[in-house]
Amino acid sequence: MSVIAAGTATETPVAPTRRGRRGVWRAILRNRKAMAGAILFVLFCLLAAFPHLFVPWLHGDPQAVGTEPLQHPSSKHWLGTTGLGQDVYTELIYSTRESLLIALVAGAGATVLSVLIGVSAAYLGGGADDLLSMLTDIFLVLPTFPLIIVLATYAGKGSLSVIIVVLIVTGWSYGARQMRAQALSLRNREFLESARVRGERSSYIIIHEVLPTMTSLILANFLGAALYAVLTAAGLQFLGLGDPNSLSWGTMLYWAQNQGALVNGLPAWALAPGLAVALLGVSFALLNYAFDEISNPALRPVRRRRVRSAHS
Amino acid sequence: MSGQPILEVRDLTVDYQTDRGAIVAVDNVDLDVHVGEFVGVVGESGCGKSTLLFAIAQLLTSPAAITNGSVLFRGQNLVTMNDKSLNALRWRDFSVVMQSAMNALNPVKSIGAQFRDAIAAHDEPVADERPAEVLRLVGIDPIHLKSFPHQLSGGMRQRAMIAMALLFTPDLIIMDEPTSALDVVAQRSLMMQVKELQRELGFAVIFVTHDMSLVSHFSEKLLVMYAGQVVEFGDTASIFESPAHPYSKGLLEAFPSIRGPKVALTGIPGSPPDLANPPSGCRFHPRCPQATDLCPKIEPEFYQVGEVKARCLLHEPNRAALLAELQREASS
Amino acid sequence: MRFLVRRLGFFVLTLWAAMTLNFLIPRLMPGSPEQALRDRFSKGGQIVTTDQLRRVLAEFGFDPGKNVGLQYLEYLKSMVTGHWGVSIGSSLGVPVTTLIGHALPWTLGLVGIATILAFALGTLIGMVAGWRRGGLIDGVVPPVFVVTSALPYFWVALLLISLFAIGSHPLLPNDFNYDQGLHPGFNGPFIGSVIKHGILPAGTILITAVGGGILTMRNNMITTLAEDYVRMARAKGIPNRKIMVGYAARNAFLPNLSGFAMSLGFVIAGTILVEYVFNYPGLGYMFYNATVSTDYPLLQALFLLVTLAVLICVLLCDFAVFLLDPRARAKG
Repeated sequence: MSVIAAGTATETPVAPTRRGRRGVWRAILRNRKAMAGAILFVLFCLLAAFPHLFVPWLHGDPQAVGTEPLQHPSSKHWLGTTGLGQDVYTELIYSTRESLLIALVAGAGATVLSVLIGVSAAYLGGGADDLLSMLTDIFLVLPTFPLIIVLATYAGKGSLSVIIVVLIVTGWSYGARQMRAQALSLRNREFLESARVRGERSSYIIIHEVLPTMTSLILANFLGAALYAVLTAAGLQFLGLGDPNSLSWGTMLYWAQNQGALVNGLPAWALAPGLAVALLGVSFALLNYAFDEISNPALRPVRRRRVRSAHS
Repeated sequence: MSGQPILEVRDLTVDYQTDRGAIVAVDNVDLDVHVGEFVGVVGESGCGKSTLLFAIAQLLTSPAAITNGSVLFRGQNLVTMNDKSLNALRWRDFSVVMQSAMNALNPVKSIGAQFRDAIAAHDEPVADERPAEVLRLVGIDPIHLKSFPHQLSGGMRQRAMIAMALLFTPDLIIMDEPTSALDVVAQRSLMMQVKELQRELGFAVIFVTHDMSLVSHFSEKLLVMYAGQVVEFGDTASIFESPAHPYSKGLLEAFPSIRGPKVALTGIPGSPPDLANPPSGCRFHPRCPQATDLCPKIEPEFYQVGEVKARCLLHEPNRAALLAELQREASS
Repeated sequence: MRFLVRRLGFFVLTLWAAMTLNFLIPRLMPGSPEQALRDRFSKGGQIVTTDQLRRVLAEFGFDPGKNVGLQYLEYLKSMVTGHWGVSIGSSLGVPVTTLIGHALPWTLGLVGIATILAFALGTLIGMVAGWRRGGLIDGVVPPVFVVTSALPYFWVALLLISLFAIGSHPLLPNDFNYDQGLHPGFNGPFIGSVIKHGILPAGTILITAVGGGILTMRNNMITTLAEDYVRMARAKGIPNRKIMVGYAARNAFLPNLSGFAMSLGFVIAGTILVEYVFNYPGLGYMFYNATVSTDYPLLQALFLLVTLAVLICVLLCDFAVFLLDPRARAKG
């Protein structure tokens, strides 16, 4: 088995069980990492949905050009202003929407593709499996970031949908491997045997029996894909390959870098959008790791116990 | 088999820490093993026999831990010993054979390398040919020292483990169901080999199994466990002839004998109790064909019954008086 | 043997796929390279004759007159034989191979060393973190490194710059690979300058990449420590350090190696971003510039080169697993 196959195979959860809904909630509440990640995520959702709550004084376009360019943070402009006098804080808050959108849509799209291809490969078997696996491996190995850059360049810079499509096309391969591995291992489990004996059709079995068992893996996959999307999209926009007029964190960073924010002593402008990207990414990563711990209790932090007693 | 025992276990108790609190897996177990003795430990799955074994060998891992009792090996208490002294004793004076050789052997190291690791861990001088020597003892060609675990057959792996356990000719070998993964024929040949080696080298054996027939042929003493407690202990012949505890009786009756008259097979109805919430009084009473009203109320002690000891109220000397008192309470 | 053949087959197939993608993309995208080039040159104020254009385009396999199939074959041939054409970007006319030759050692040095260091450190720290359960380390290490592994490369780069390389007396330089005033050569000042300029970029890669290695190694260690052969090693009295390395880590490391191969994609992305931020003239920076100046020949060559590098790494990891795991050898 090549390192590629080995690397994804070991990621499958130890014992996929059908967990009751309540159990999941309780598990999340007790795990500090999950709580931190969840809180961050909810915060970002709020920012994206109701940005005006956080910038109550805004009337009109958040990107409106202002009169005081390149200002340091002050009571008037909490994070200073850009080269065009725009308020950094306002832009930051309003950018949440696009960045979150990219993360969720691209993440979901990549996950759907992974499940489709991975589970199909597992169930079709034989030649189809070989073909799909080969395809997956190739995409896995191809350096995706350069590919994205090339695609984004040739396809005309900027369009949001291009970025999302490109992210989906490059991000599904990792998950597909994992899905295939787990679907394969589930194929022979007893509860599937009994479903087959009951006469259920393959497609029914897949949708109603296999997929629900794989939910924790699918969820973990989604979080990983979302993280990938956030970081890569920001990287692309930072390099100037996004729409320079769009309202997103990566684009803010592009302009900050372009105008030499750091060297001109405006670290807030340069670092704040990056921090936002980092925090969103971190929220996904924390949730992901927490789910890992929840599904595999062995990974949780252990409380030290006194092992010996002096009785005799 | 007389004189001072080499192993004295007293009041050994093991707890498992779970989300629901501590579960007692081994409950105040006593055991004596003398030089060259073969002691069998039997019971259903989950009765705590493997846990007992690992507790004696000081191999428990969290969440399990010894919370009470002592394990005296030649007078030294293993439970309170520090790691350094314990490691010096390990393998040299007592060794372990586990259930699945495939899992118990490091897959990336050769058999020979694993032998050498054990040797290197102790100051005791050992001849270079010792690994080859012990392999020959169990009937394996020493050329396999270079082999990796996955290259040997199941039976060979198991015998290699036994060979490894003999490296320092210890006084005690603890075996956890070493034959469960083998077929019947291999089982028997392995056991006979162990017995043969025991005669030659004089070590004692604690042998855990769920296979009553196997243990009856090869052990001198028998320890029957149920729900974490010892329910019967004595020499094997006596227990087989007249089991003092209804559980032992049930176990014996579940195994048919090829010779002898045809008897209806009876099992033991019900299933083992939840250790987080064991039955009151005698733990076996819900499944016991001879249970009385006393049984849920009083926890039986370990009574001497002829040659053996049994934890059953049937043998409580004050039984009659206690029964009478119970009836008085009931009617009043 | 079969294993080797299959891996090589995969290698060739992937390389072919990359080259084909390289060929297809410019032709499938809107606009034509010819037009784009013409636009670029006219913007730059240069007048280019159709002939010159044709020649340049032919260099990278684009001859509109010829049949597409033929173009493809010629293109494949030129890629494989190293005829990668000349740059049509800022260094117009310079052979692509020369340009790459200049940048390659810098990237190899910086990224290569930083990545290997991150992997080695990650494995070591992960090994210890997985071994010592309980206490502060167990609770702190995972969350901290979960966070660092999710940070965007460019942000960490910017952060480091703002901390160490800004102001009138910066601690460290924030761009280029050495003081541009110095003469390259094996002399003290030059080498010192190279190192100084390399600290922040390498640091960025290290900080972001080490977390992944730590977390996977820790998780693998924890799973491995539950295995029977680790308990067996304890039973033999083998000292803890030896168990941690020889029994647990040796086995836990294997999937870690696979994880490394998979994370190469992220490392490449990081390289491009880090070199961009630091103006570090390596392959990543070159790639960015080639994109901006639509230098198709250079872009193609770089893409191919990177694919080649990743494939080589994957193959190397495969071989490493082959060497370290006797079970893999048995299957191959």
